[in-house]
Amino acid sequence: MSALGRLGKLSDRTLYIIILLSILIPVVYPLGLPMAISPMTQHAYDVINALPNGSVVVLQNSDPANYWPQIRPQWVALLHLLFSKDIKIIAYSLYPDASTVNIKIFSTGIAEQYGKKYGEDYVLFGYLPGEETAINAFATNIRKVYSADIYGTPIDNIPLMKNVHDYNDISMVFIELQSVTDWHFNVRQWYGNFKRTLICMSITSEMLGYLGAGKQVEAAIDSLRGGTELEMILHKPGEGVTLIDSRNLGAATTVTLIILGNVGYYFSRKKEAKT
Amino acid sequence: MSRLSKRLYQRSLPLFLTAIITAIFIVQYIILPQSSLDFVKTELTNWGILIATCAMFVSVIILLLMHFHKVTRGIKAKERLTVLYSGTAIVSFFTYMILGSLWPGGVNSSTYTSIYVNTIAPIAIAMNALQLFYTTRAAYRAFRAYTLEAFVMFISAVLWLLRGMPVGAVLWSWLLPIADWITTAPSAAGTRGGTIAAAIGGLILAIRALIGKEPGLIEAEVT
Repeated sequence: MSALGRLGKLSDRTLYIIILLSILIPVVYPLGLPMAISPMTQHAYDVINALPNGSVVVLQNSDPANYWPQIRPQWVALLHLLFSKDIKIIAYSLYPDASTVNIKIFSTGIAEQYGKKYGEDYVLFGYLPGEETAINAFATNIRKVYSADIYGTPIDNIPLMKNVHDYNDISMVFIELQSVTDWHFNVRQWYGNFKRTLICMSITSEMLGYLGAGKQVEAAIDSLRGGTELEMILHKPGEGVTLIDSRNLGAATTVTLIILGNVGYYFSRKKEAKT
Repeated sequence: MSRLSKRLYQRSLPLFLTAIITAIFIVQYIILPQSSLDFVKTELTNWGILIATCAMFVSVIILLLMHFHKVTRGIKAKERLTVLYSGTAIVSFFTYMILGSLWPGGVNSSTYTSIYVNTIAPIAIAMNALQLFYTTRAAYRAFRAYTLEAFVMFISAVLWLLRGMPVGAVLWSWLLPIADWITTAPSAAGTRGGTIAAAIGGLILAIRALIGKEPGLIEAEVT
């Protein structure tokens, strides 16, 4: 077999070593590769930035706690954006341990940097079972589904909630959902039923069908990449900027290996045809 | 007689209730949105949450019973791995339940949250890291341009990966419009087609269920 033909038959061990090196190099020696801001993230920034001061937004989280390291950079960047303006945040979860993620999001110290206070500028509610039914009930009357926040404070004693009763008091909904199959009911309720502006915090194939289809999903922030771009727009480089090199090199390795595999396949087939 | 009563409470009654509740929702949404039916719809929606909560509670008990059963069976049959896996699930469940119940501040305290997230996050990172090795290996072996269709798949995969690279917008910006077109035109159109087809299928299934023509799972449970 020719040297080029062997490229299509690399052993698993060789592949794993190449992948391992591609992950390790940017961790040991940060490459600082250039990066441009995508139109998608720029549009999301423009939409969020256009919110008038005093607006109330909802963070609806459906991700389990194991996604926390992956989504942390984008939430830190988004909190910088929201808290740099006078935007109030109500967070609740549709997955049992997603309220844990919400607690972690607001434990990053961003609120304190902007002098924001729990109960006045942001509030956390617990897990609400029922998925689509839960969204509908929450949007119709928050007090019917939550009598207290996650710390047990009665809802009527929370200053932020004094003037917030239902979807009419909510300007925008941020949906954190990595699942590829559950987007339809989020759009059906928040956009179809209540005509709220939806911002998606991840890119999945099902969500792409709604993004750009009218205003069903207004904008998207693509997880780590979107978070890093938001950090750049806000001039607040954080964890995303340091992690994005690994993503670059990981994808570059995959593309290179796919091309090498095809080169090897082409040359080995050519040699077989000759013999 | 018992067969008849089983049919009544397992099939006829659930279908009847589903039909009534669906009718209320349809009338409220389409014909009388601002009527007293709005109150009924809101109450029914809240009941839905109660039922979902009860279902979750029952599912936890069933899950635990299943693992207890597996451990008992595993000990008898000397299946060490079964005992280890199910035993780990039971121990984890009770550890976090006791921690959450006894810790000051409960499951929402910062200490409990840190313990929980700092346990599960490294496990998830390890799983994701392993996934990278396997998916890259699979991509290397699978994306071979054997046929014209495979060649189209190969080109799409490479374009998608290049689009996903943040550095790509700087280094090969001329490629991005092509990748964006694939994402927003054929891919989005295919997804939308699939979504609409599934919705129509769901609607037909719902109508059949409402008029008693779709036995589905309920019938399978009865028979």
